[in-house]
Amino acid sequence: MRVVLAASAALLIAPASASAHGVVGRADLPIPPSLFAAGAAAVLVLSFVALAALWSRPRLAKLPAKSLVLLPRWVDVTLGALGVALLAAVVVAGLWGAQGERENLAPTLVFIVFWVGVPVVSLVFGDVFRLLSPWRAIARATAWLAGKAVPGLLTAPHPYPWRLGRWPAAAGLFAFAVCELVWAPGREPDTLAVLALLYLGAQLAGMAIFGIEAWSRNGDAFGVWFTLVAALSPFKRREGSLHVRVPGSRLAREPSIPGTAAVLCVMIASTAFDSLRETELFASFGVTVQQLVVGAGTTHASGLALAMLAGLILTLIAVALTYLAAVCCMSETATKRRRRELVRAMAPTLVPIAAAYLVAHYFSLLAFSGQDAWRLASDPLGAGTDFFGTASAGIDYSVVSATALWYVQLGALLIGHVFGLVLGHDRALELHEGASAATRSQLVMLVLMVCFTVLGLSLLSEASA
Amino acid sequence: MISVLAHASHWLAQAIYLAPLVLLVGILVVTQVRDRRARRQPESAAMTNAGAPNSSEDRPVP
Repeated sequence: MRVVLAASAALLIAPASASAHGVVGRADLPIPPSLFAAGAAAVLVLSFVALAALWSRPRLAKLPAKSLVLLPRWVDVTLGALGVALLAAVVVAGLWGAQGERENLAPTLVFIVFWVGVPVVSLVFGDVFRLLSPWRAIARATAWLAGKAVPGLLTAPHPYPWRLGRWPAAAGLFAFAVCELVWAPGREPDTLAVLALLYLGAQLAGMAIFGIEAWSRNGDAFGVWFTLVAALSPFKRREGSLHVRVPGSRLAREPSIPGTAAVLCVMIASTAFDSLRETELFASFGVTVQQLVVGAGTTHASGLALAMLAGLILTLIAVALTYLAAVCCMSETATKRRRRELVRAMAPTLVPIAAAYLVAHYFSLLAFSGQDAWRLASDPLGAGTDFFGTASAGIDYSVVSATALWYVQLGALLIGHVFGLVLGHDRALELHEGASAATRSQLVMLVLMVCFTVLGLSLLSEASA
Repeated sequence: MISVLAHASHWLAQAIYLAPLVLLVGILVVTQVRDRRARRQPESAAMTNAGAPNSSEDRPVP
């Protein structure tokens, strides 16, 4: 029964496709997309069988990392200054620039370079945002200056409450999703500038109370999400030097922190909803909600925003229930406390899935609209300037073909879900007694992964058809 | 509340973290006010010129 519940919930949240940002033509595929979906499902089942047969004890957490090079301190300072400069660019362009989304640098910088570009770079090069973070850089510079001016001025911060965990980050990511997908003024340059300043204020307050590093690791929405994605990278910065490791092995050592599952559910739900809102199913739902709200005396714009908010919240509930149902199925006889521990412990298995949806959903946006950043860098305020000689640069839509885009999306979804299976299996071996119990507990995860992959691919193929 | 205020010395120094934000917002507000004033000055100058009795348009034709 639970498997059916979980699978039906998966059906609800499945459209985590790239349809919303697909801007190129029809993909020229050698075989029908349904065969790709069947092949992907077969790969997942084979991976599960291989894991069950050949992976009988936890391995990932014990894999060592090798030191490559020592990173000098100026790298911290330079990247921190770059982050602060980019934040300043968003604020100045937002407040003083033209207010059209395509004329102003702020929306492109926030929604493409920052929101999509940073996690993609983090997937390859590791946790770059830790160094780029403007709020962390400003707080560190302030602490350093205050320490120099009045030694002993700053007292030890309060210990970060363990129960609070990453919930502030989950709330922050949800608020960002509302700005991106629901609240139309949230995409306007001047609103973005004000929101960036408000977010900076909230981060500095959090760092003042709980300390810079504790807050960055738990309370900074973007810091937490980008760090989780960076755990999939082969590179890691530790104690001032760059280390190389097996990609994803860091996730096996990820501590069980409250709110981590919430962060990842918000990320999966926001990507899924971005696709879902383009479907006819949501259109009819949206119209119904809008009519109800307008009938109660609000404007059409408010009605649409409320319909979108209801859609986002329902998608988030569906994703969260799917995850909880899957975890409950893993341990049907466990106590309530044990299940809560499992919810936290299994959360890292969602990281590759959330990262896969991010790549599949936003890749075309990054590849095409991302090019617009060069034009806007030359004319950030839309005032007719040409700082770098690129103000008249256009978007080259031939840089990635529709077929290549399809393969990138297919690859991202497949690798992400296989990675999720591997991580889930490795974690289950740590949490359960015996390899067979661990494998049995992961059967429901296999069902979910197959559902996600097949439905995701079918929607991707519809988008490129 | 009283307890929080009584221990103000413990946390007040931490408010220094907000100093850069206060500084930044201050700079932004000052720049905005200056911009508005600079925009208003040419407008009022133009209005003064347009309404002046000795302007060429208002001068009576002999």
